[in-house]
Amino acid sequence: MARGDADFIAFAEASSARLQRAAYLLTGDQHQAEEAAQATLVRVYAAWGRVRRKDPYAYARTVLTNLVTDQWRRPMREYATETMPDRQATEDVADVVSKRRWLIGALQALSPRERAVIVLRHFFDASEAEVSRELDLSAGTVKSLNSRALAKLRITVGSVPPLRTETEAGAGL
Amino acid sequence: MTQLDDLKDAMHSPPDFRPAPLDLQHVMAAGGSIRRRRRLAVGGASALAVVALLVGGSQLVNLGVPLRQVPVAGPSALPSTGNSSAPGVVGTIVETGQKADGRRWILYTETSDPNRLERSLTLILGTTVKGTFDDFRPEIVSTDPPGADRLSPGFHAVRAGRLLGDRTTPTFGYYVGDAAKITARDTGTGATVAAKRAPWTAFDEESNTQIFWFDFPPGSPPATLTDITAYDAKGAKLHAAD
Repeated sequence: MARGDADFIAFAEASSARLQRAAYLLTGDQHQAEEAAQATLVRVYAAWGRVRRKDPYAYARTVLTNLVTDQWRRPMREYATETMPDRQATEDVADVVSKRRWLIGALQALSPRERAVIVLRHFFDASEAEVSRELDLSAGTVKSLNSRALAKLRITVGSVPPLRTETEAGAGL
Repeated sequence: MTQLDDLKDAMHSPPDFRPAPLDLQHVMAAGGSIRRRRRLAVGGASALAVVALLVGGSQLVNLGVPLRQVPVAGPSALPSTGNSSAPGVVGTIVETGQKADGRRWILYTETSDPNRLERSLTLILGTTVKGTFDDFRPEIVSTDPPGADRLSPGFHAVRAGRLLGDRTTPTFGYYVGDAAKITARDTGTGATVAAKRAPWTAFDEESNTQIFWFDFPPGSPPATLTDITAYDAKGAKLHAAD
């Protein structure tokens, strides 16, 4: 076993599921997500000597984003739609799973750039500067893509009445 | 809970998605293979033979004059972008310290295939104001001929300085090998001039590649340089090219 392999194995086991989840959000396809996450870990292992003492997770995030967004980043192409899935009726909002399903569906309806910004900003909690660097976009573009995508997802930043849990919903119904 | 929290919650627990088991054996075998390939590509031993190079159409020959040490221009290098694994800008971005029309001259590399840098590495002289990728403006793109191993020991992608409009560009290129100094002869003055150098890495710290360029005072005609030669720390000539 090469030097640092034990550390890499621990890192890979801890991050694999999260990377797959991120890849699924970016691609909308389970099979592609598995492949992208695995290819990411291959690249991370290839560079492990350099990244292990820095921030391997940030490195993996960047590699994954580059792999997935490679198809649209040069040149930029947009296939955005302004038509988003219908939101559930009021009574369905209480269903946490349904709401999650709607949000994931709506996420897939975003343009690739909007989706990448949303995933990096709100799944990985990357800063605007990091997103700007990783997607090769200006800070202003990142900001506007984020705002536009959140608007499409019908999300306002701020407090709203708490969502009822499934238990509460059941009790309430 | 905010709507944004709902979105985060949905992204962290997407319905209908189950992560697959990790195939660690495959990951480490494939990653190890990439590592070995890159080491082979950039770690070849330097030979002492000096091969003539063409710079701007001038035949280069050996240089036999005393040389002075030149510090590597490490501090002027921008942070590495070696974590990029997609086609596009890859590796260290080097500031030359010169400006033209309010933009800084930079040297950087691009690739169309991160897994085959030895066939796809391209050196670019460009300009930037902001230092971000979206602001890079390529001015001169320089590569080895198709089919050449672009990471073999020796000089690569060497371009002679010239005038681009009213702007002077440097003679520049990159060198693979443990060069402690790189020099050339100014055919106008006969003087030996030393290149500025910056270490270049893409994915592995083991890289012994460096980007070099010769001073290019703005507004002055570019010097005609010949006899580009690399030397090791003991002053011995290094491999020039395959």
